[in-house]
Amino acid sequence: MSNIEQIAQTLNALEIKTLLALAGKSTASDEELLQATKIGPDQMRTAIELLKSRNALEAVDEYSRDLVSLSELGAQYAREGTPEILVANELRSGASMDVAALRKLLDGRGVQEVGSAIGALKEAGIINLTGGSASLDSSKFETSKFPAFFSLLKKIAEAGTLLVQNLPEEEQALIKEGFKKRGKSKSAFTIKTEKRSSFRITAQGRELAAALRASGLTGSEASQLTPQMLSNGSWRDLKFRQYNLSLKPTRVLVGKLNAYRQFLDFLQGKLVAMGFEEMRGSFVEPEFWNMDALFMPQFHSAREIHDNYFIKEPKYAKEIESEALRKVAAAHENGGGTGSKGWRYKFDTQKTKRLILRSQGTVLSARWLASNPKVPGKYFAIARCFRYDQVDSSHAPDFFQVEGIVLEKDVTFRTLLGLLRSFALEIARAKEIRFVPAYFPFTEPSVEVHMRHPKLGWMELGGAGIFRPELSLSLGVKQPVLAWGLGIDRMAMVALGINDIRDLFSRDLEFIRNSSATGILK
Amino acid sequence: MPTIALHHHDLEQLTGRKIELDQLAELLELVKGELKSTAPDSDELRVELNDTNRPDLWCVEGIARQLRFKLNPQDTPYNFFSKKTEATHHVQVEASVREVRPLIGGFIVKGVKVNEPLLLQLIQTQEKLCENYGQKRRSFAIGVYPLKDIVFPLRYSAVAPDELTFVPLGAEEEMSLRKILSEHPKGKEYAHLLEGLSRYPIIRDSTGGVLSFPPIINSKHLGEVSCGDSDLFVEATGFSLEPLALALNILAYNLADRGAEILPVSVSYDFECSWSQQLNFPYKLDNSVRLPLEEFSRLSGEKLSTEDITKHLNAYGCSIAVSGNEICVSTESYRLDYLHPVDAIEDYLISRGYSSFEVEAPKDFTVGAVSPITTFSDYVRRTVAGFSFEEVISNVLMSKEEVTTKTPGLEPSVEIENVMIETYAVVRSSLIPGLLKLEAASQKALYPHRVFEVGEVVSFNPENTLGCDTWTACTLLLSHAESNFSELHGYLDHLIYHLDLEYELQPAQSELFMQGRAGKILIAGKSYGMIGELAPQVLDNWGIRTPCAAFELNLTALLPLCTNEKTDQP
Repeated sequence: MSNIEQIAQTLNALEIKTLLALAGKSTASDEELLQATKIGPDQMRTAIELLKSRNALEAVDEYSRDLVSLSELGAQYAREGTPEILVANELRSGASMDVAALRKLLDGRGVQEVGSAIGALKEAGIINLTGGSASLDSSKFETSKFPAFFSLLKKIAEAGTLLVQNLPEEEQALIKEGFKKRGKSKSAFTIKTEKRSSFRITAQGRELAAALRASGLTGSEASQLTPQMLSNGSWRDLKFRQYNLSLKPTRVLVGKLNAYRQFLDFLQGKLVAMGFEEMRGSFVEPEFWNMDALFMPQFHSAREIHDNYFIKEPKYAKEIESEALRKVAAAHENGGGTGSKGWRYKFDTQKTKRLILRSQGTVLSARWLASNPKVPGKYFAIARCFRYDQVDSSHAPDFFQVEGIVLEKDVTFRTLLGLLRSFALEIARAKEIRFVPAYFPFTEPSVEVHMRHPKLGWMELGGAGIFRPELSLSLGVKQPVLAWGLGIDRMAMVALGINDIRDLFSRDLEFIRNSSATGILK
Repeated sequence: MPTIALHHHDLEQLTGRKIELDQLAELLELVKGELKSTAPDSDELRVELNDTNRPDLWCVEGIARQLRFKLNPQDTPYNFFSKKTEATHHVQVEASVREVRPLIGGFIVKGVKVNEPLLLQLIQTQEKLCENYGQKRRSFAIGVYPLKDIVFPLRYSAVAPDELTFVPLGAEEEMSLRKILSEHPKGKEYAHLLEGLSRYPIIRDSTGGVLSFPPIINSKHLGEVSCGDSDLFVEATGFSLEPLALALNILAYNLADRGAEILPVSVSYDFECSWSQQLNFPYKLDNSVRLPLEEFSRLSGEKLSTEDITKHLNAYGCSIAVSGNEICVSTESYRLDYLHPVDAIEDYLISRGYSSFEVEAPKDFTVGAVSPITTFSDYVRRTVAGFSFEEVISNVLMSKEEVTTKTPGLEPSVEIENVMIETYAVVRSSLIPGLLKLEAASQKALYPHRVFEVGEVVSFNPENTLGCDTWTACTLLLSHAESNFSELHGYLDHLIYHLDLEYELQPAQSELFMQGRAGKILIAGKSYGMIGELAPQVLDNWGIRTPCAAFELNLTALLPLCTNEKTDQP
């Protein structure tokens, strides 16, 4: 399809009608176009502007014209007759009539200005006044301007509006005289002056018109398919206008799931597909589950890594499950029969009850281990966590951690690496990965998996390890437990295309409306 | 996790090898170190050390030592424990320090060339040890002195705050101990460590000259090391023998690596203590574990030979003694991280290299699932998103003002004791303030606003051993020029219909909502939430200029009604 043909397909009905009307004449006034197209003046103006912008027509010259219509008085005259006509009608029988009686009679019927009508007729020599009695010269009256004036009024009343320039000279003179005599305000006529243009079709316009004819478009194509057309079947006979697809649509305000949440849902779906079962718990936890049960010594600087938010009130958990507390305390103090030397200090059973906001999702793993987990079993949590960190572009006041555990009879270091590789392949679609020795207070051995991101280069994807025996044995689990965590913030920011972690929790509604997690599709 | 600065050239010299920068990142895996930055115009490198239990690695000497085992396996061994040297320097500890800061240890350094780079490294190591391993000087604090003016034996005792005066480092005049704590910058920084004590620890030489007021500050006279010094005295005071001895040992090994001769110092205690009353430093620490050889195979998942295990552990600086089926792995006394046999096994894995293992995916089939409350929440989220509501995730932490005066009528919020900034001082007990915060920040966003959040909140519950419950709320908020109760009620009605429940609204009074336009959402006579038009005062508090209506439902409470399941927190 040529360019012109394409444009022709996108013209709307008004444009098509106007252009085709103009194409027949080369040059036409808008009046002519209005007549030819039978569309309203406002629609015409729109069509002309659109066609101008398509370079299909141009304005050639402007002219002004007067439109005449009847004033209220004129309309009354046209309906009931002018005072002159009414006076003449009374005298038409040929007999003369007493002027005073004539005035009385007509006044009684509510006719205005009887006196001046009589005066005007007398002045024109149409009636004779002798001795207070009036008589009409009928033949002179019929050829006078008065009946002509009356029929002009009726003609205008019938048409509503007429173009002054289109009227015969005599009628134009009558209108002018009417104005002169009575002044604009009392005239039977109203005149409106309009400026109008003429238009000429351009070469492009001609091509467009030819294209319209070639494709049979007349502008009478239907625009909206209606329920009526569907029920009465008229759609079968109709041609439908084609739309201009390059126009911007109007904005819609709809809702959707949050982009970051969709990213988390994506992770959740992946983990469930990999056989993981979800763990959920409380934001508020005692230090026992958040750290002591994870074999993090109460004095150790590793607790500074996880600097915590302490709860103001109540400060302490009422109780800690006694069996777990006894074993964990023993593991800290002397290994507690786990094959470890322990941390060799006096375990503080009050500090362990101190309530904090959970600092790591691993707290859930500890609780799950202590409550008879399934073996084999895989568990995960997408847990909101809290750290005592300065909030900036890479630290949110609260954030999501994704982590969990794997319980199998004979897991080994090789299984640990295999687990991380599955995460890298399934979740991050990483093609190239590397295992790096790492340190976590509660796992030994510990490993980080790094992946090569196509844009960001090598980045950490997550960490994992085998829970220390001091930890798992104290919580009643005999076999090695794989523990893992994924660094999701970076992944989420890549998936959402943002650079500031705080934008994951944006409170700018336009930003939320515009953000999407398309990264999960890639 | 400490980050240290070191010089590339220094590292190479201590390692005895040329190390290219691009090779360094991989070598640093041996010490769980991460190259953080390099300076283009000097050879300074910044390295983060991740292993909290290996303070020996928080210095260039320690990193070089660990690399050397791998790169130069036939390095000469250390001899300051094997060589039987009588201690020529002595410290006497008086009973007065027993309740104050009972423990002291030290050693003598001979023949080291103190220059500025060495001094900087020494200070850095001392600081990292005290800060990250010595609990910011609480567990132990270290002092280093030029040996030349000190007259041994030393006396370690406790004195009254005004009993003596000396000129501390960083000052020009003599100060009493009391004055140091209240006026000297270091005194003010560490005064809390001596809080409640009537006597303070002091180290003096046999002429009465003050070396130090531990754990606060050295004296200017005897305690200022400068370039050109060649002989040093290093001491540490504290409470528990092992970490203190370890810190001293690390410094001794470091200085020995720089060619110094390390001479022992003996310490005698005038009181009964849990350690021997006569101690020699450097102090030999036992960092060893015994385990069956097959533990290596069992944990690694690969059949391993004794030779292979020995080879790789030796290359990591470990000594091996095999007897029958059992192996004893031990290290020099700069390490104290072997708590359990797994710690030695990890050394083997790191030494051999993680990438040398063939990976194996977990084999057992398990059924994946989300918890019932997640299934329920996700159902509600998808339903409400289908109502054309935009989903929001807000922060859980808010300011106290936001959940009290700005949004009155809410359940009280759990508060944080150690607030960092007032913006994040309480845990939300409702999602409404978060959505109002969003509205206040989004008044330029095209209306209507239809937003919702499904998220966890916390409210007090004295019956819970934790003092509170964490539960899941679902909140919808509607805002536009003509938004009102009735429009929002339509959404509530529709949502509850899709939960297959029946409800009624009971008129409710709340400062949060307009009078006569608020209700409790009752199901079988019990309240599961509230709905209303936000009170103009509340909107004004937030600076919101468009009417809002909101409702909140407790999904955790609704869960049993909708699914016949209980929440599943252990």
